[in-house]
Amino acid sequence: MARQQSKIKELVYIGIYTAIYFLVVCISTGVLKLTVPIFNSIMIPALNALLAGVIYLTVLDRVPRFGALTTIGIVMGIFFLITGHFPIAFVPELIFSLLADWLQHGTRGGKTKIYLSYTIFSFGLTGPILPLWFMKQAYINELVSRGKDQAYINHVFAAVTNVSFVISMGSIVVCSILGMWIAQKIYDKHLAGLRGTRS
Amino acid sequence: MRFNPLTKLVIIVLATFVFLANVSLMYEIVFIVFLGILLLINGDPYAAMIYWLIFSLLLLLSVTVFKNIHDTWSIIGSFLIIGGRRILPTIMAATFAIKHTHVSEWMRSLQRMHVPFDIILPLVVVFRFFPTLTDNLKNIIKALQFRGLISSKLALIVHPIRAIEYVLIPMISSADTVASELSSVVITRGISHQGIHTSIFGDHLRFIDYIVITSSIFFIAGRWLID
Amino acid sequence: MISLHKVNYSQNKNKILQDINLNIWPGEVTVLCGESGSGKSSVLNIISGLIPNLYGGNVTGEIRAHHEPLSFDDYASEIGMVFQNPKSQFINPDVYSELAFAMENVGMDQKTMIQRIDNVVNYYHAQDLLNRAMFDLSGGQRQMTALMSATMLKPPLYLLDEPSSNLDVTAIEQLRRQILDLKNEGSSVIIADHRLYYLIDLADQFVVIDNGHIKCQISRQEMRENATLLATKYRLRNLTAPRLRLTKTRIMRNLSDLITLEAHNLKFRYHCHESLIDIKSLELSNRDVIGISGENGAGKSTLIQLLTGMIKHHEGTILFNGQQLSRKQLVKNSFLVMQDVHLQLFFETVEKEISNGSRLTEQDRQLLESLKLTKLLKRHPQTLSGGEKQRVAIATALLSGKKIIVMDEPTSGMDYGNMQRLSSLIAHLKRAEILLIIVSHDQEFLNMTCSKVLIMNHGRITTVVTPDNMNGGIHND
Repeated sequence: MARQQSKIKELVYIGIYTAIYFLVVCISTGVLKLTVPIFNSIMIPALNALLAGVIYLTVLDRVPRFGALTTIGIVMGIFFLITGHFPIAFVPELIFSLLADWLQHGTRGGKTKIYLSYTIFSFGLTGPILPLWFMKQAYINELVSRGKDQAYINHVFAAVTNVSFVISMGSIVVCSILGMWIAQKIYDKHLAGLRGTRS
Repeated sequence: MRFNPLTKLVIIVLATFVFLANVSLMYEIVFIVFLGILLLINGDPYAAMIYWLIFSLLLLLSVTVFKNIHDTWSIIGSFLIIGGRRILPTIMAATFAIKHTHVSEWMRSLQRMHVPFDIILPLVVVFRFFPTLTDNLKNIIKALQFRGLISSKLALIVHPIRAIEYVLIPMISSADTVASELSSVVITRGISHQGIHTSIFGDHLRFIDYIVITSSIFFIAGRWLID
Repeated sequence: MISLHKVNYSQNKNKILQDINLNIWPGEVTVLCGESGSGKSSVLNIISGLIPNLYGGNVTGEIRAHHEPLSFDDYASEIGMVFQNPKSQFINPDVYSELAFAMENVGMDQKTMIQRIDNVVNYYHAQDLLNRAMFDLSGGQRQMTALMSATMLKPPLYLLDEPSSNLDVTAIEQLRRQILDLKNEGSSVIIADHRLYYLIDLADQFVVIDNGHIKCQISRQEMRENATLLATKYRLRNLTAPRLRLTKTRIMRNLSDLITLEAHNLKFRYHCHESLIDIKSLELSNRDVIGISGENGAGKSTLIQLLTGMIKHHEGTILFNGQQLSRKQLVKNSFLVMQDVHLQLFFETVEKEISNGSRLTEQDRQLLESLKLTKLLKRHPQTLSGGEKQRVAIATALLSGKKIIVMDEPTSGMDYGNMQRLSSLIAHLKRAEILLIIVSHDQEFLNMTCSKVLIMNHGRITTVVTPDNMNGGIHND
């Protein structure tokens, strides 16, 4: 029973941090909606990675065992599912959070490992941008049905999609690393000092 | 009329299927009408009307203004319009899912689908705690204005990293108290009780649920047979 | 029914409880009294099992229920618990789901649940609460819902931890009636509280806890006969219901340090809500420490947001020292100490928090000394206690030259000792050149702190109470 109660507290912690993480996702989305008029959603994972690192560090500190990150990923995924962001968004959340969790808790390594696992974790948010890719398919189909020829369509899309794909994915990596670096600073400044006083 | 959460999940999955599959315009229109009717029955006539209106508008635009695609602007424009039309069913399904379903119903349904307790409890906490967080965010912004640390809300966008420090540090450092308090409540209300949990809203499928689920199967089959 | 025998509790080598012997009988109400930090909440948590299972620490001794060692496998159906903070006492977004929650968790069937909710709601006349969102309820309504949800499984034992601390007089009376009902049904109730007046006629025994020990046990009979004597002997406070009876007098001021804040024909309305502020004329000055009181939803927080420039008024004028200021200037001159004060502390040390980066002058240091902050300068603000955080927030306001300082429910969750300390701090502060406004429903605190109290109702100021004019006081029924 005693073990179960401390486990409940851990699960409540995970819920609270997931909620804060989700708030940052909302803030990132809101900021991008206000500043970038179109196709802003491809930048959401990157901006979020830049901002949310300090939550990631807190989770690692407060619930230092395998399963915490995965649970956050799955809960986020279900939240996406129920709130209908995009049901398939569930899949990357699950895969990347599990991978990050395994890397963080299942392997040896020092501080650099956190950068890598955080980057992987950040890819979990690519789910909500998957629709763009399928929208592209729909668009191509529409063009085909209007009798545009394939060469023209390829010409239109080749540059746009490849560039935006590279930008989107590359920016996640860069922003994750940068975000984690900033997070470490904020963490050392504030939360490392708080730890000693927690009972 | 109330729908079972299971039915709502089926509709979400169906909407995703339609989104992914390459369906004809006729199919699309029928499906939008179907989702709208579900919203009507669910008690959101206003939402249904709005979505129908948006769909008609997008449809109209794609056959008039963006009929001919030649320059960059028309490519971007038509892409957004076609894409928007495409994604509309999933948004409608989401509205259908969120509205008028209680957290306790979701919990019960997820439990029935054998989602483990370790996932359900954090999910309940997210539902419970998120409104508190948005409230906290508003108060933090007010506090920052009083302190003169920001002049307006826009200043937060200009310095996102500093903003995140201001916003997240108070939230994270109060998480300990909140976690203790919520854990106590959750434990004393018996959430860790082994065995079946029930829902006050009931969890059996009603006639209407069977109708909707059956029609979903027809929609999926129809994609291959008719379209 | 429950007996504690030689129970000790320690955490990190701090002895929190020592040699606790206590018997609880069915159908009796036991009150644990004592100052905050005396260990009365720990006794409750040991009985509930949250100590050590959730909070950790080391418990020795014997705890028996029905002569059997206590097992906590089935909390919800054995123990009904109500906690202190109305804000964090619920899990579900609406009252109906919240009431059902404990029953759902034990797997009760739908029909029985609906029946029970029906009974409880009829019993407490809470029909109008049933479909409300938890977030829209007042503190009192939330506390009432918490108690109702605790009764759903009809547990034989109730544990209430400072249930009255965030309630106003009306809500406390309701709480008293609810506890009486539980007692009449034959349940045991254990209450830890520092307010005692509402429990005098209710309790069968009072257990005074001091510094982790049981100092004495007083029977209902003894308490009735010798209340005053016992109160002095064991430093028990709040034995009589508070009434608004201001004790502070006005402050003499030269014209040069006078600060005035006036509002004329002030009107405000949210987009489609009926929440409305309608104030003909309001003249405040720093000759008074001003209190604002009134029921939840009366418009208190809207009024202070208008006066501090946080929101824009639709009609009327606000004059600061006779001048009409822009909203931005009003914000610049004022400061709000929030209820959740931790949300307004942003820096890594108290020193940085207060100085905002600039150097502290000798005068600043004197001020910090008077706020008892000098020793805390190197600490992280978020590690401080609630009262300390409040003082840091006040210091940031004073050092940045704010003229209007508003405190929103500063005593919520505070025990009596801290409340007194805050009051004397304010008595000290009011010598400074600032205008202090305190929003509070806590009449004791207003009595010892303010020289003028505005009572609000439906967006209007219905009564102004001053030390000389008492008959206009609060209508508590």
